[in-house]
Order: sequence, then structure tokens, then C-alpha cells
Amino acid sequence: MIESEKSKVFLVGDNPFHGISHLSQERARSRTLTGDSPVHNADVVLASIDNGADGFMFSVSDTTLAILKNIRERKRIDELKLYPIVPYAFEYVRIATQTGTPGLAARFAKQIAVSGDVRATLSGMKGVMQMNPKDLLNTYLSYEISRMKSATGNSKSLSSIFLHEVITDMSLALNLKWLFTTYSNFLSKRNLTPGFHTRNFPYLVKKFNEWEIDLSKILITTPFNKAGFQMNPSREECEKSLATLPSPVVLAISVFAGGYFSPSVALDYIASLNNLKGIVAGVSTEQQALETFGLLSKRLRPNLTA
Amino acid sequence: MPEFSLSIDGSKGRIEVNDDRLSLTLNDSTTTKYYKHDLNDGVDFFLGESEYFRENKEFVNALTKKQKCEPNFDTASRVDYVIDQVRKKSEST
Repeated sequence: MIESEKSKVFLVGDNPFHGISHLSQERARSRTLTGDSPVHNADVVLASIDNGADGFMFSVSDTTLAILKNIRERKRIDELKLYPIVPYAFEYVRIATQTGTPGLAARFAKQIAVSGDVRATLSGMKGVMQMNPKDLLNTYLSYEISRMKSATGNSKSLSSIFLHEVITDMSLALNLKWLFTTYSNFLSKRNLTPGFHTRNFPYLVKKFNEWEIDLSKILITTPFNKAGFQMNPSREECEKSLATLPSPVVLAISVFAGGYFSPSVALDYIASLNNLKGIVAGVSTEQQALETFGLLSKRLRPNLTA
Repeated sequence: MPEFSLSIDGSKGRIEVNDDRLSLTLNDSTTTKYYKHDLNDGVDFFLGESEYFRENKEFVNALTKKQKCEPNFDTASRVDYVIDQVRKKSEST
């Protein structure tokens, strides 16, 4: 079973809103052609909430911020917990490709200045002048928080921020302990739980133990599915690491492996895992939201739905 | 994103492969599909794509064991030669 009945967390993910499918590019393209307006996507998120989801996990981008803005306009933003992932790497890579790294830096600096976040602006100036990467990281996080607050109207829904796998895994590979501690300290001071998105879950657990980072005070999101898809180095190693955690802090993604498994088969596997905090599932229509979160509630919260 | 795919017709059927799946269709119309999920694609450390780790591992192992790395320049240039010939012949037919 997944932790205790009360604390299971179900989140709706944003991959379908970005036209991402882990099964095939063909399917991703067909998704992009169907309803992708902020209104439609907000309908899907709210339908998920109505059917048992507790919150929304999303990459911070213009697409997802427009969805949040729409939900806020409907006065329902406080009904969901927000679990953003930063940075939305593909957006930054696209801008850097179009304008070069100096262009990306100039655009970023301009946006921080326009955001009116005095603390972020000062921290950013200090970071640039002293070439201090810790100040630059803090400036970047302040900027992303201000973007989210702007879209949500300072809602209290924000409870955690996840570091995107590109940064998490690159920093693990480069042994950048300072980055993980700086990131964690910055968020903890703002009563936000530091989150880490990774495709190298056992290695992250090993390094965090080595660096004495308290694993009970963070959240991790990483793939868990019956096929072992995206689970590195293997499904078995990921399961072993999960069992060693002091408390349930893992939110499983890729549970359905992009539709490779039927929901029933996928949830049989998830239900067999100890120590999961919850799962994230992407849905692209209101009907899918009803079916998916209805099934999740039935299978993983049987005592609450009976 | 651009997508690469390859289709090979043989005497007993057709194989189509792209970044996501391999599809085998026999002459009797029986089709079998294999997705990435079927291929146990895990690596010791994942960054970007599994292939990058495997390439780096092969290269580092070759250095430490003082062996030739595969593909080396010779084998890679032979593969390029075959691809060039296929392209030329396909353009002329």
C-alpha cells in the first residue's frame, strides 16, 4: 500500500498540455492538434480535482501559467496544491538557440527587472558583479516564484518547487553539493519543500545520504512503472532505494508508461510498492480525468471512496 | 522535432522502425510492435538519452583497457559508405 490512506497524493501532470507522449511522437503530434487552449486545459485540471486529484504538477511555462491564470479567474485556484518544476528547460534552450546565450541572459535580466521583485533584482546584480553562482541561483528562483505568484494572485497553493531533471541530474553528475544545499536552504526559508525531479533516483539517494541532506525534508519525483521504463539503472535498484527512505517522499511519474499499460495493470504494480507518497498522472480530456482519477481513488483510496 | 524512420521490405514482410517503436508486419498481415518500454533501456546514469551514457562508457572503457572503441573511425566510415550507396541507388531508381 502507499503510505497511510490519508496522506496519499494524486496530482495531475502537464505533459499532455505540452504535446508530450512517452509512447510515441506520432501520438504527441495528434495531441497537439487537439484542444490545447488554456480554457480547455483548465477544464481538464479542474475535472481532475473534482474526481480526486489533490494538485497540479507542471513545468513553469507560458502554457501552464495561462492555465493557472484561467483557474484563478474562475476563483478555484485555492482548491489545488501546486507543484511546479523549474526551469522549463526546453523553453530556455529554444530562446538560447534563437538569440544565443547572451540574448538569453539579456532577456532573463530584463524580465527580472520588469517583474518588480526588488529582492531578486538586487540579488541578481550582486551575483553578476561578484560572479557568485549561489546568488544567481537564488535570483532565478525568486524570479520563477514571482511569475507563479503573478499568475495565481499570491495564492497559498504553492507548497513545493521541483528542480528539473536536466539540472538535478547534471548537478549530481558534477558533484555540485553546493547547488543542492543552496536550493534547499532558499526554499526552506520560504516554507516551501525543496523538490527534485530525477531519472537517477538510486544515485540521488546515495549522494544525498553522503552529503547528509535530510531525505525526510524534501520531495522527489521520478519514474515508477511495471516495465521499468525510464527507471535507471533498473527497476529493481529503484525499488530497493525507495524502501530505504526514512519516510514517503516520492511522487511517482510515468506510472502508466505513456499508455503502454492498461490503468489496471499499472496500478497493480503501484499498489504493491511501499513508501510512495503519491503519483502524478497526465490526462488530456475531462473524460480521461474522470476515468483516471476515479480509478486511482477506487484502487488506492478504497476506504475513502467506499 | 524531426523524426527519423526506416522501412525495410523483405521477402517475408516489412520492418518499420523509428525513435519510438519497431513494427514487424508479415506477409499474412500479422503485425507485432515493440516499444522502447520492451527494450530494457536503463543505464547506470541517465542524462539526456541512454545512448549518450553508453557512448561515453564505451569510450572510457576503451581508454582504460587500451582497446579500440567501437564504432571506431574505420567501422564508422564503412557504415557511412553503405548509407551513401543506398542513397545514391535510391535516387537513381
